[in-house]
Amino acid sequence: MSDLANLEVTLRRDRNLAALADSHVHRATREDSLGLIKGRDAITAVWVNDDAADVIVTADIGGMIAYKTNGWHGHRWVWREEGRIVREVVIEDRGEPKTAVPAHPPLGELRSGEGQYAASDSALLPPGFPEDARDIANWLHQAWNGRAFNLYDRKWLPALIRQLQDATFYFEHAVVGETQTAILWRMHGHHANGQRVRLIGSSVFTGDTDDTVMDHAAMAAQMERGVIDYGGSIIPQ
Amino acid sequence: MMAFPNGAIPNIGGRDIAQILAPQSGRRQNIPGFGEEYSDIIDYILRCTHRIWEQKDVGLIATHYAPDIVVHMMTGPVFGMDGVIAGTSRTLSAFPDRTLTGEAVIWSDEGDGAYLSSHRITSSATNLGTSELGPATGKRITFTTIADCLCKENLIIEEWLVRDYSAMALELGYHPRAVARDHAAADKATGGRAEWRKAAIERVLSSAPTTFPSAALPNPEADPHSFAHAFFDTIVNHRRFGMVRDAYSSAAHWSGPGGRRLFGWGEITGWFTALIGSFGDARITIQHIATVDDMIAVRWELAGTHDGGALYGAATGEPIYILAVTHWRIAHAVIVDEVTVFDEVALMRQMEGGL
Repeated sequence: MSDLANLEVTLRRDRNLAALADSHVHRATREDSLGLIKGRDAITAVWVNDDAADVIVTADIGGMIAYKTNGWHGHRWVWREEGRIVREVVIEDRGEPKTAVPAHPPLGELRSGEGQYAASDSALLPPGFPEDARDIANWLHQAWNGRAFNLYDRKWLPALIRQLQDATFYFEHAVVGETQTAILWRMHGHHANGQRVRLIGSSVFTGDTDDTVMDHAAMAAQMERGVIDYGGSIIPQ
Repeated sequence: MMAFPNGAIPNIGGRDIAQILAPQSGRRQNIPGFGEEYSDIIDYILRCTHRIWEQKDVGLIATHYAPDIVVHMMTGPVFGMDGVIAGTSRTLSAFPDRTLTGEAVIWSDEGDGAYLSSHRITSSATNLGTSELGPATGKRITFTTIADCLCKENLIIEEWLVRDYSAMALELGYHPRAVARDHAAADKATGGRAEWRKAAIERVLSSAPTTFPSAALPNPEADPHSFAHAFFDTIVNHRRFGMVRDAYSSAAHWSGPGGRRLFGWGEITGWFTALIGSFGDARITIQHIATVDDMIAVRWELAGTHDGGALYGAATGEPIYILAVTHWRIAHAVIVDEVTVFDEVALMRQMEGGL
């Protein structure tokens, strides 16, 4: 197992949270679909909320792991500096209700500068995106952004798009292992009430099968969140 | 590898706080007149911040700030070291357990033994006393500050300080507009518009316009100064918002005032569109640029008229002034991370007729 997989076991099963002092730099950040927290102390505080539980690591690909615990799935992506974690993105679908703090009104469009064009054949990928993950990203782009549901026959996709009709998927990062490829992606879309939902998702592909995780509770919470209005009305945190 | 200068001085990246604050072994940089305990300008900034703020040795301000220092903020300049000591003590009374985590120190050699440090800080603190935003709330908050400090011979001789006060207010449970309204009422009770603010607005709006920029943006890795100038002139002053797609990674992260966090071209384009949608005649001028490793710091000013409702409620017609600092991280010749900080409470205070 990788250091990251061992850390997950150490923290989740053994509850040795002191390990974070060695694994993370003091200014490490942790992001999920409801926000970003800064600092190792704040990350430790999140771990304190969990009880001890067995965990099974189902994918272990360099800078990301997938795991099962307590009957739910999670993916953790990390970036390191000199061996220590400086940034982590966590996607956990725990099935427990969550609350989203009020957010600023949404800014900008979802498909930047594309106007009336249909989704292109190729995904918009950031510089540095791994060459060996591009075919999968292009396939997902056609299926998800192009709505070619025949290319990706999973029930969650049309179900999500029925709720967020302009849902747009962005591919942020990928890691390629010997037999698996993992893709970190984001989805922005608007609910009928005008709320912009911003989700982080993660997919691990083993051949044609995938383990895809997104935080459904965060999605529901964002649909109901308050809006910060600088014009005058007061929204409490 | 990027062609930025100054790369020999170790920055924050990759070092834990215990390594950063451990005693260093001698000088790594020629910093004449600085205390022997400081190895380089980054070490000076991080270590004296820790000593003054976290170790509560506020009196060290006397040996680290010039007696006639000017601290520039969006609420106006503060003159003299005594004002710095008083302000520091007030903030520590309101947030006694404040920790100041250095996220980046982007510095430049200003010649004649002087250095400019653009120090981005994430502060975590519990609000246990009355602050400038209101009575104590007992809440723990996190907020971003960038301090641009001009340092010479162990003294900070001039400082430009920007803090995300609207994020602080929101986290504390105060409405930023309500705080701004209260501050403006106090301003109006004590007299007319401040001269420093009028002069700043005039300085920015009288800057000479450039010809329409039709060239591509310079490569930020090869020429960060030209990139920064072209970026703000093209995207803001000439309203070419679509050039966001040339300047940023499609997966860029953007953090801004009020704790806003944006992702990707569409949302970042939306920010610049909304900024001009709020201040239709706005112009930006750059005060200072520093680069180190893969980072660029730009201090800029914006002036204009609040004539649109995109970001700050219904137009008030008030002239406004913004002092801001932007930190970029560059990879593959595009911006991958941005942090922009300015004081939206002071901005809305102007919209309410204050300052």
